[in-house]
Amino acid sequence: MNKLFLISIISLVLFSSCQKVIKIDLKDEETRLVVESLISDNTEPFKVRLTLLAPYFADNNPPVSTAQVYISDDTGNTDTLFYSGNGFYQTGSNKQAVLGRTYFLKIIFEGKEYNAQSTMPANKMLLDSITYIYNQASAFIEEGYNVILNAQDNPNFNDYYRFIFWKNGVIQTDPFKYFVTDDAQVQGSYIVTQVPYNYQSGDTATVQIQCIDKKYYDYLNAIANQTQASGGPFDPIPANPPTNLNNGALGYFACVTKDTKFIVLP
Amino acid sequence: MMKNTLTLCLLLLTAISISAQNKYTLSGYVKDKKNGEEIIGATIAVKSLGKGTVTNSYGFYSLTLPEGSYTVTYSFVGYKATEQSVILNKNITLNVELNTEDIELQEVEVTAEKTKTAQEKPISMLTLEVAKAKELPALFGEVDLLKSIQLLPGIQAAGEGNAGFNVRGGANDQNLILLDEATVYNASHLFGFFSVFNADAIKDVDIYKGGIPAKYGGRLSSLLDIRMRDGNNKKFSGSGGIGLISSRLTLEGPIQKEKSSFIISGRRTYADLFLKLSPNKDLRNNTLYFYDFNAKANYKLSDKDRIYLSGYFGRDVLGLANLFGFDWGNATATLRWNHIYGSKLFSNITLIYSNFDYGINIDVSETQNFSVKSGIDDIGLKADYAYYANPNSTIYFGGQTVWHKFSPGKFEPIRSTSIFQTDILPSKNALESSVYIDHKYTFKKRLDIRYGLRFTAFDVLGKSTEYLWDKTNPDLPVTDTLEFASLKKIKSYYGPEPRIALSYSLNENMALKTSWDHTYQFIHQLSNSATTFPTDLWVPSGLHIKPQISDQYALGFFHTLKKGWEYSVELYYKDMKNQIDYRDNANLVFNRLIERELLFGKGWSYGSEFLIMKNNGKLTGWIAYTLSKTMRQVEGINNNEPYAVKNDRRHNISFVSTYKFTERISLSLTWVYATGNAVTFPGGRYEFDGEILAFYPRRSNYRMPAYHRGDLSLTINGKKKEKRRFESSWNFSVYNFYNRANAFSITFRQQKDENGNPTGRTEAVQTTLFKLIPSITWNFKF
Repeated sequence: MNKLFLISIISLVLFSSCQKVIKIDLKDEETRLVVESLISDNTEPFKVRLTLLAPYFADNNPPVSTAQVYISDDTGNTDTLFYSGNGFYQTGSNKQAVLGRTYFLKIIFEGKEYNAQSTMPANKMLLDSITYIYNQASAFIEEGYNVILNAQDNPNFNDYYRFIFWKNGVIQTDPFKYFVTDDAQVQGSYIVTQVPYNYQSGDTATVQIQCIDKKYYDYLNAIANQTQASGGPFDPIPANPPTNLNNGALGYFACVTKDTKFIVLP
Repeated sequence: MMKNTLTLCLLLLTAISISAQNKYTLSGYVKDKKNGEEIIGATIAVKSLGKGTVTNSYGFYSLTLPEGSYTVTYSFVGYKATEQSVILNKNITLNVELNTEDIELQEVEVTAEKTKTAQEKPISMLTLEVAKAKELPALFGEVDLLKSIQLLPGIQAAGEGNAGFNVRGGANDQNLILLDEATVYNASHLFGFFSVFNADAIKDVDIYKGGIPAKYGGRLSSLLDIRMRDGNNKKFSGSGGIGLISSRLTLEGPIQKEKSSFIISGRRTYADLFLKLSPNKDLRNNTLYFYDFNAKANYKLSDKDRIYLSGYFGRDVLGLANLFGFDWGNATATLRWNHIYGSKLFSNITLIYSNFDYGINIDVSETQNFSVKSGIDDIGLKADYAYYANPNSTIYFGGQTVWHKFSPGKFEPIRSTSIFQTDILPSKNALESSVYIDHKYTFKKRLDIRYGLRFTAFDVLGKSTEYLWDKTNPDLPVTDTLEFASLKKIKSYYGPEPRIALSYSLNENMALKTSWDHTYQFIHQLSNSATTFPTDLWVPSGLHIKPQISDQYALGFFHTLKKGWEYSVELYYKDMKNQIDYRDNANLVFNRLIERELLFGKGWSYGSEFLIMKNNGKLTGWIAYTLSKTMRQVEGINNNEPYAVKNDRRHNISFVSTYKFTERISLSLTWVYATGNAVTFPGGRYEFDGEILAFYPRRSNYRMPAYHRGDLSLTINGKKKEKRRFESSWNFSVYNFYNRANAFSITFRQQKDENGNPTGRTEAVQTTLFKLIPSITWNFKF
């Protein structure tokens, strides 16, 4: 159950409070390495993006091009990643992360070594189908289609999921970008979930289910808390998402399973 | 420890009965002549002896004096003093009725005896006069006792327009809020913006910031003792009001004249009633309201026995069509029996029930629907005795036992087609028991000493499930699950709570006071947002949470001047152990391992409080200034270094004034100033998953801008006519009259262009909750 959901609704109802952009002086912290990497069971190169922490009001984060980057697994395979521009490093060939296997990320940058490890979930959730319903316009619902995802939860695993939704190739973020959940209250259920994005006739709706581990679930929840803070009375205390990197680096190295389906709305 | 307490108690009682020879007792009740309400804190003085006492929470007094003839003066603020001649050659019961002071009379008798002066009151204790609070400006015109007490020194608002409060650096859950002896767990409506206390039903509000008598325990920082009115036992009457957001109605009257009376009082907001007029069907189906219902009845069985039954029920209801429902509220009930043994021993036996719960319903579709319920229930029995040995010595003793039942959460599908399954978090039970003895003694009229000892035991009992984990790495899976059978002991805590207060009169008008209290708190409310949310859980101490402990030392100087002026200075230092804070990104919602989200440490607070008050004349009011600092040190936060708690506000000023132009027209002005909250702001930005995130180097690294606000209210009373019982008044209030945009929060976010697309840059956004808000209320009584 998500408190954010509750709060968003309540804030919407109660606070038509006024907001304005202000100027504020912030003290800058020493720079840090920021790592973003997500590897999956899709057949594609392993990718890592390295940038640096920048002052909060800076225009961008400088990419890192001079690091050595390696990904290995618990069966003894090691891959070296090569710089491909804009902070990205990738393997020379396509890779596929294996369910249940643990992966290790090693980065050497300016004489310092950074490490992270992550385990591919042992279970992969598959999308059964995407269906849809048509809504008439009402106070809270725009006229149009809602897509419904249908999938079977595996009763033998304590799973964590992330759902991602696209409309015509654009990731949907309004009202929420992050749909992450565990299966504690839906263990073994056949999941039928209506998605709160509005689609019109002719739109392509794409849905992806990722199985993620508990730590990445916590990380994404923390991002959701931070990016969805409303400024109202119920915002949680600001905090950094819990990284799995050491040595003061920020970001996350995640291993996920992916299953993607799409439909074109009639 | 228990045995020692009992021995001490017996010794004291024996000592007193030996000394009480050739003395007789004058006792009885002091009441309001108009409506028969008992008066709390009325002064009974024997001038020839320079001795006296005050009435207790039930209006009872007992004064034991040597045989003789006396003139006894009965007085109370706002009432005409009465003198009674008494020939004391036997025990005498004398019930006295006081008449309310007429305004014109007051003008003449400017020098009239002041009664409850700052000098006579216990240290760190303040009384809020409900009638005065009603004249003060209020947000949306809703008279709010909890917001009025925030204007007193040492008491801070939890946030803008918030009924939550912090006392001397304490947390919101460290205030013991009692309504007719029953604990109120969530004292606010509508997410903190209004308090649950309907001023029409309230007689008396006392707040102890320290020097809490041994009779009370269970919270660390303060005691807010709220007493409901008993109801007019002479004639049927009513009062009420129609305001911008709510209406109130109170009815009271005798059941049997002078023997029993009742009062019922209700309040309901009606913003949602306007929604019903909307042509849009979906809007019509929305709900957003709260209501309060207070009821009380009392019955005089005999001159020595009296029974009170009081109850409160209030609820907030929020709903969006049939999709979403959220409701929460408190219910309390107390049944009390006052009995007077002889004329010196006053007893009160109380049966208490208190409940807070919430429910959430989400019903989006056939497959997506569920409900969540959570709550806390208390059932308690309390026995309190006061033995009025002689004018110099009163002994208070008694005990209490409360059964707490915590039901943290029950998650259920609403319909069988739902994809969700039932999930129930293990409930917890606890038995909180205490005994106390407290002795108030006056040495040579100059030195008042009140010393007491409270002893509390807290037993956490099954049936429950407890989880164990590696405390050095709480991210690892649970290592063990323990099942406890019904009433099986899970964990016990106990400890003595000594309290002591001294007051030394330098002369008739000046006093020096000091106190030390040691307090325990066994149940805690977990909340990591700016405002307490109805879903913020109350949890007991147990395997993972230790009781919070505090030691507070206070020192004060009090001076009563002529013409109703008085001033005081108090200094305090508070040391708090086992304080609760939260891990980064703590998940406190429906989490069976909620204790893993907590971090523990110590806290301390110190400060000085200055108060200048004017109590009578055309201009009344006060200026309060508090200079204080509150810090915390917790393992796992800010590299284990001390940090400021959110409500550490260095300077706090409140200015409160009411000017009575005529008997009919009065104008009130309040102004508050506070240093900004300690807040956490970013020290850098980074990108992840297409989002720009803020990097927070440490907690409480910045300050919000200072907060200040002025409010005005004008009260116009209708003309009083001799024959007509009906009276009415208008109140016009302006909240934040100079329209300052106070920063409620400053958040950091990604900038978006006019089409809602991210620009790749960031911005800081200030949120202001309330700018100028005018309101109007019409009040009546008959």
